[in-house]
Amino acid sequence: MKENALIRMANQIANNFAAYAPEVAVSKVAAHLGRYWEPRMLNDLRACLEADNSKIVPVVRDAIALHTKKH
Amino acid sequence: MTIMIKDCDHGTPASTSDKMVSLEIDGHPVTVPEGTSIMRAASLIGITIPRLCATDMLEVYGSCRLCIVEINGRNGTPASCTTPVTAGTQVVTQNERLARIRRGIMELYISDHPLDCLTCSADGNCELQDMAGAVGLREVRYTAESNHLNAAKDFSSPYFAYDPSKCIVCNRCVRACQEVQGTFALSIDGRGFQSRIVAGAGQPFLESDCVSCGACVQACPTATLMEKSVIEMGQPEHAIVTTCAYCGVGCSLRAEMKGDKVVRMVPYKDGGANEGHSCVKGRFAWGYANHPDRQTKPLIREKITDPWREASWDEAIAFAVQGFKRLKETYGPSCIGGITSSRTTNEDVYAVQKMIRGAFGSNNIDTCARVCHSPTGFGLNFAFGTSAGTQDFKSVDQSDVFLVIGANPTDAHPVVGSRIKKRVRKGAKLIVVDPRAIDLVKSPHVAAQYHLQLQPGTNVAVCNALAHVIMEEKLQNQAYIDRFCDADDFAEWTAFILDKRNSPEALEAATGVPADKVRGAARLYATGGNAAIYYGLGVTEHSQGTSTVMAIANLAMITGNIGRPGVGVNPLRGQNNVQGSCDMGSFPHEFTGYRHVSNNDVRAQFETDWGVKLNAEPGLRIPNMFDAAIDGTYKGLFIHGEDIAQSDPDLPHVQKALGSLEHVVVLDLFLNETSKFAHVFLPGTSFLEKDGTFTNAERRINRVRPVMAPQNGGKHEWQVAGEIATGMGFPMSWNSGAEIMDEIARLTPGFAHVSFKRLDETGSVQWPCNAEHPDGSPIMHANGFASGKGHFGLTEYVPTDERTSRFYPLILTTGRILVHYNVGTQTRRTGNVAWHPRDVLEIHPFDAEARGIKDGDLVSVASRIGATALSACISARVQPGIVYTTFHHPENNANLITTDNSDWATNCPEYKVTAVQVTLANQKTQHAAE
Repeated sequence: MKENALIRMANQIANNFAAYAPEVAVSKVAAHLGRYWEPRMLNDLRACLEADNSKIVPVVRDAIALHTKKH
Repeated sequence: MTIMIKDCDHGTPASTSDKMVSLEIDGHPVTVPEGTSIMRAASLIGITIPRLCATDMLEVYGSCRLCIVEINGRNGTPASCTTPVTAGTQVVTQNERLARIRRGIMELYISDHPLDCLTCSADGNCELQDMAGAVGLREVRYTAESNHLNAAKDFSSPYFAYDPSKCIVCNRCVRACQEVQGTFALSIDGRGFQSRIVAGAGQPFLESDCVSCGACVQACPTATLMEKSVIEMGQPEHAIVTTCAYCGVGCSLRAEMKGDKVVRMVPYKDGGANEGHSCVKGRFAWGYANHPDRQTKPLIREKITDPWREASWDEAIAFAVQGFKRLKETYGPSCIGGITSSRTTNEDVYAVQKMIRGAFGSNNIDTCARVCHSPTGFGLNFAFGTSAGTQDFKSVDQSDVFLVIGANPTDAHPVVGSRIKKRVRKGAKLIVVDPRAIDLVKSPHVAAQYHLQLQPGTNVAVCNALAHVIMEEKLQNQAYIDRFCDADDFAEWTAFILDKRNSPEALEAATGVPADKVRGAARLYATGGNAAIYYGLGVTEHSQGTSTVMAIANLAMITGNIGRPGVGVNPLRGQNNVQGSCDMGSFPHEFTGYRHVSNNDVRAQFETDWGVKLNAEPGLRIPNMFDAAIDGTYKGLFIHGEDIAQSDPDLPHVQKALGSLEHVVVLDLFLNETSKFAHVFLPGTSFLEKDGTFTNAERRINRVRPVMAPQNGGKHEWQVAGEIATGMGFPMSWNSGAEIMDEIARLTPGFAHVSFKRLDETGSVQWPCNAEHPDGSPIMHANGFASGKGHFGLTEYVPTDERTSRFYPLILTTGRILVHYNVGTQTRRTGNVAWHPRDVLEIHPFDAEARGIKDGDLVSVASRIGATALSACISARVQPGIVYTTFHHPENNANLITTDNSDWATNCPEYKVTAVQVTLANQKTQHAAE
């Protein structure tokens, strides 16, 4: 899927958990992605991360890692 | 359910007193609540006292004097409508003295009334005629030299006629406009024989401030105000109770019929949601069901550039099946999916989502609620554990403070708007949070104490600031919080909300709302008594829609305004069955009852019942479907009752996505913008043909009953889904809507005790309705939350990405007006276009002057996405820097310019904030010209 759209959506989720402690935010973003994102979207986001993670905020990077570890 | 053609009218409203009073009327004992009128008490035991000015839809008035009675121990002949019952009294309603007086009164009335009963449209249903008969009037001795028998008639309204010659000046229409609707558009002008009802300042009805709710027509005892359909067709002969197909109020209506033709719609007095009132759409705008534009035969074509070809149902279903089967076999189940509609019944929605999950084999099922109230489901589920509003509409009557945020009830949910105004007229206080000065801010006898006129996109900031003040000034209900809310959550949230960044002063620059106003509003909400929050799409359709819903829930929890009448959090749902379509499992991550598809126990239950293996991963949401279509990984779409090529934002993107699909099947009433991209068009059924249920914003499940046969060749929409599923190898059939509801009840804990039989017996029921709540649940969370404790979310204010610039210096926000509904598919095919033939752009005088724009000028509205052209309406309702329009007409389509920004949690589009430039235009856009 469109790289920019996925990254924007993922970063937006992280920004809305900004008031939480970083480790809590990572956990909440991971849970959100797992609960609401269709697998191909997650896979495409992972691909974006592997290709160039500079546009993806750290909380999302850690959340994807956490989600991958759990699944 | 066919009912009596005449509604039972007890003359005066019911008393709510618990104390009972016993007396005798015409020798019959009767016991009624204290405060009941003698007229009503008599009526309750079957004794009808003659009357003209009294009706139980209105407060007592006492002007006609026809209802006089004698009471032992009292002098004179008091009016039974204005005289409350007294314990131990004996009342006489009929004797020679009373009969003589009544005949005299009737003689005076008839002296100035045309004697054309046989050709009058009210013949057979005229209270004046009935009373003349009841009192035995045989002659009229007065031949008035002065009368109003030749007064000019007013046919300006598309729906009803006004014949002043037939007016008996009973004032019922004037009182209905004041008491029921709250518009105060009608008054009586002149005295004696010159007395006549006037609309507005003596204008024709169409040009006046009358909102055409029809309450006056309903209240009129003669043919003075009469539906044009009755004038044309004559009086109806039977009535069927059904549910309105427009907004989320879900009004119960009596479809008054002549054979299989609707003569008129009358709001049903026993309807739990509306209690006898409705708006111009529900009462009058049902003609689209028989509009010649209606497509009643299936159509198919190989390519979207081919012309349509009529097909039989069998051929069309086979064609639809073939397309989906081919895609599934070629690309796998994840490449196909569907969209359900909140304009269809629970049974239709359930069938379509079952078809997608069971036959298509994917969870790519979403609902048009995605683009309106998906943040409500998410936010309220997080806070309270249930994805629904907490109250019934009756709760309005016990509110002391209303906080109305991002909602315009008098236009979009008019019956609730009228109810709120009625309560405000009785002294309740009102806080309006809206960028625009909606009618609730100031209208006759209603004025908001606070209008927080915020910048679009700053709802979270305002709600946080309100909560900050409540906590800082220690106005919270700590006892409630300690008892019902999660302590850790609350501690964390308290630290967050008390941070200076959430103070009204810190946020003033972003919100544009003076801090002292926010502080005053917060104090009023927290300390003003029962405080209720009502909100709408002005909350949800933002990049932080879900955060605002959570912030609203936080406000209700910290003040303990949950769990009793008069309080709560009340989402005003856009369409009639938004609540239902969400309940019915049409989100891509949830089965019915909001249970996640990854829940093994729940999935196993459905797999056993349906006999099919189900997918445990969430599917695509509507915006994700569009992206995947353009990306080439999504190939086929079933679209049920939603014109996404007009209603969804960033239309160039939507159109590109639809054009990328290999197989599109549309099930709808009319060929529309979306069907231009379809390969199969399957004709649907209107609400007048459906047999099912709608669930309104207060979780009330109401029956939708067919008043005519399906106009599409006799096929219910759930049957269409069933036949497609069966064709794809997943047998799916029912014999009736009732059987589908039985299946829903079997698989959905909150619906366990719901059935058509139950609904036919009780009228309606509010979920949850099960062993724990056998009578349903008008008020939720009375003894704590479904999830155990109430949860506080940290609702950080994150400004939207959509920003103004020197090229796009204005913010466009969108909304609805009273007479139209969404993209106008229905209302544009009714007389409602008389009031609003095209969308207009509201622009502040300062912004207009700076651009040389005059009222009525054609202007171009351009965003970073596209441009459209609209007529300018110069209005101080909007602030400088803000422009506003509606999206009811395809030729002015506002969604050509709205962006693809969406809510962070749900992808609900941000319809409410688009940076635009407005300039004078000399021609329509190409889109409008086409």
